[in-house]
Amino acid sequence: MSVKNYNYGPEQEHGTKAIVQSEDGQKHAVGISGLHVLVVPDGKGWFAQAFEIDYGVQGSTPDEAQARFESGLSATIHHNIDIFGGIDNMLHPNQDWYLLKAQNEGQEYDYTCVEMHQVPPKFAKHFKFIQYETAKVPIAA
Amino acid sequence: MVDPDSGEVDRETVINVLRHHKVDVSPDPLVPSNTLMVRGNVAISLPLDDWVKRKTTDLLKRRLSIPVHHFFRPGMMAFETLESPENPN
Repeated sequence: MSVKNYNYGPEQEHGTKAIVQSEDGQKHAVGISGLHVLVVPDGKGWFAQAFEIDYGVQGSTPDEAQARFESGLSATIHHNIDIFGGIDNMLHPNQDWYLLKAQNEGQEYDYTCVEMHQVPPKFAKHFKFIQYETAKVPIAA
Repeated sequence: MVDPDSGEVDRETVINVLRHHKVDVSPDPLVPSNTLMVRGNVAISLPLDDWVKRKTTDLLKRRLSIPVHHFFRPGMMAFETLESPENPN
């Protein structure tokens, strides 16, 4: 079994980590911890954007955006391992969103997931450690 | 087609622009409601609704290196050429 550890994101104090374990070259386990995700209004809908990984999805409600984020990130991990053999190509932070984070301090949620490759994607059970927070919508007086 | 109020772009236009830029676009076999996009060393699975929001087109610009104005003005994309510009004649 080989283990590959990643520390990523422009600010190491975030402690975001990704771990890839491969067993006999047949199965991979991918763990991501401490990923920060912000859910913000976008036009008539909502958008969930991760900071340390430049990945985000839109949805008509905050709940839908969160659910789509989980299944979409999970599928993206699967495809990156399938096509490229690892998740190195995914680990790009988005600097623009760090600026937005500074303006919305305290409104992001921490995100932890564990992905098993070559296992039927029953996504719901993989993401039970998430705490969601959404940006507050300013209400006009 | 672009919604002038929200800046949202219809799904068909987004897919046409992606394919023009040699992005491999296909239904995601793992998540049926998602679309799998692959270009170079980037693979990303996203839900593309009938109307694609601004932050999603921004994400496609960053991850797949698509000029964002092409989503709003597809007519500005260059015509397909037979010869690569890097190897004229």
